Amino acid sequence: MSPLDLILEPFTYEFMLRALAATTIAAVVCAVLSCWLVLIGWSLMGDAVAHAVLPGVVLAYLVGAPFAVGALVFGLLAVLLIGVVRDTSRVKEDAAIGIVFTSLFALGIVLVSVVPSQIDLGHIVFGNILGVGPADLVQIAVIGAVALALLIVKRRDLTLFAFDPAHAHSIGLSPRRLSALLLGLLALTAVVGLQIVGVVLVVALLIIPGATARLLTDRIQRMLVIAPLIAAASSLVGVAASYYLDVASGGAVVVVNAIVFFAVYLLHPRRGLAARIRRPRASAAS
Amino acid sequence: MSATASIRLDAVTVRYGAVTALDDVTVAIAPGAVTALVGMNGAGKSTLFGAITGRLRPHTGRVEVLGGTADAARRAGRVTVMPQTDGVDADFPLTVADVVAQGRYGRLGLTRRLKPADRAAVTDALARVQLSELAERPIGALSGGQRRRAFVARALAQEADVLLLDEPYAGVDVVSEQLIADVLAERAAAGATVLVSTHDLATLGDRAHRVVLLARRIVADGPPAEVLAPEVLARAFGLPPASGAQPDARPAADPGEGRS
Repeated sequence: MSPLDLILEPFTYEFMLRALAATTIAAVVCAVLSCWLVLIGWSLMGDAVAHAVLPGVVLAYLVGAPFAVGALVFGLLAVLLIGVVRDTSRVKEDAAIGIVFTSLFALGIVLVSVVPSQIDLGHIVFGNILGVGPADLVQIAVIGAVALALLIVKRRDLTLFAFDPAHAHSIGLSPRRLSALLLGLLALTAVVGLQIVGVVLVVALLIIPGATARLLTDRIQRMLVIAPLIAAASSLVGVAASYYLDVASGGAVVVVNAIVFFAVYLLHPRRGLAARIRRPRASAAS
Repeated sequence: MSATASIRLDAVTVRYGAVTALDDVTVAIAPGAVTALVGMNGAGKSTLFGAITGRLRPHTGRVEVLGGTADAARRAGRVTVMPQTDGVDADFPLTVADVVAQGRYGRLGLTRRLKPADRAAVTDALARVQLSELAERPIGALSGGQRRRAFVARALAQEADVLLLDEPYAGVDVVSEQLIADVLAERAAAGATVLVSTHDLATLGDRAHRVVLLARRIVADGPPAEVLAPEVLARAFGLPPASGAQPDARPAADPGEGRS
């Protein structure tokens, strides 16, 4: 049996194939988004929004609305609240983020415990890759496709916004609208990722691929290709590994992403830590 | 005040909370000339730029740019602002050509895909600031002066009628400084409105047609030779005439500082 067969064998089961498809879609969309998040310095914001969508998801379940709607409302509410707390009190931004997202996340946990439902808190916190049903997959695919399409169409505007919002404004674009677009897509993507790897680990998918790609290239156009490729490959390897090793799938996917990041960080031929230690003078000069 | 002014501020006051950043400023800036805006830190230079781009709303007074509102001129892509480079991440993964191409975005379609005419404009702008050979380098690999030239090239690529430049000469090498000054003079000669904020009084005489001294309100306004006379500077910045250029009297008011 070739290594490729070994990797592909688990996916002869339909539920494994669905799990892989859902994971790959979520990971790819998160990875594209992560390129801008790491460049703007919004990693913490990604963390906050991912957690803050929880009460929205529960309330959406309660009234029978799509999860994405609840997530979007609460994701944007979180961003709004963070801005209000930061601007109208002595509290600085990092503390404002910490206060708002933990408050909303706690509210979500309380809601889960009182709302009679089939929502399993464990699945929300840690994800439930193998429990992805056909209907879930459709929802993930639709949200993922919409988010990805918007990101691709608006990629140059988002890059300009990340690089120089003042110039974006001065040529007639709206930095406010672009940041709302990015945060809205963040909330949407968080709800997709949440079903796969859970609230806690979705943050990893929203940061690591973009950070890895940044280490590999000096052009954002290439980052936007490299990050989703890494994320997709990590999804395949992670889900397959979880099958053979009988470990948590969400965790496995994130661990593979992390391994790739640290491999690049240590071993990059020119900028890696190993290369820098070997020629300290050259790195000091650059 | 000329009837053909391209920028007009009429009794403009801007406040941040309790702080008045601009106090009843009335000024008209003419096209076809380089106008220097001189003032210490906190004199309201950036606020004035903000009012001209529509980023800041005056509490009272009116701003008119190119015969319409500031917002209209900005949305039409007719105004360009060159920031103090501190404002942007110098290590951002874009090439020099990518940054210059951003000057064209206002006139491009939904996905901002460059057309041949845009590529030509980017190439020309890069050549004008002598960065053609560095076009494919990451913006972070340039020296401070080269990076400033890249931003000037972006402003050129935009082909705007109004150019606002915030401290374009601060921390720039001599070659870049002269090159930027030449490019601005050229744009002004071609009919553009060029407004430059600066601390550097030494070279203003050659580079500006008109100097406006700002200290929250307009304190002097006229040709460089007049405004930069020691008595005028002393009066404008509230110094005794004898110590006109001495920074120790009131350090922030020293118009010659700020080239670090």
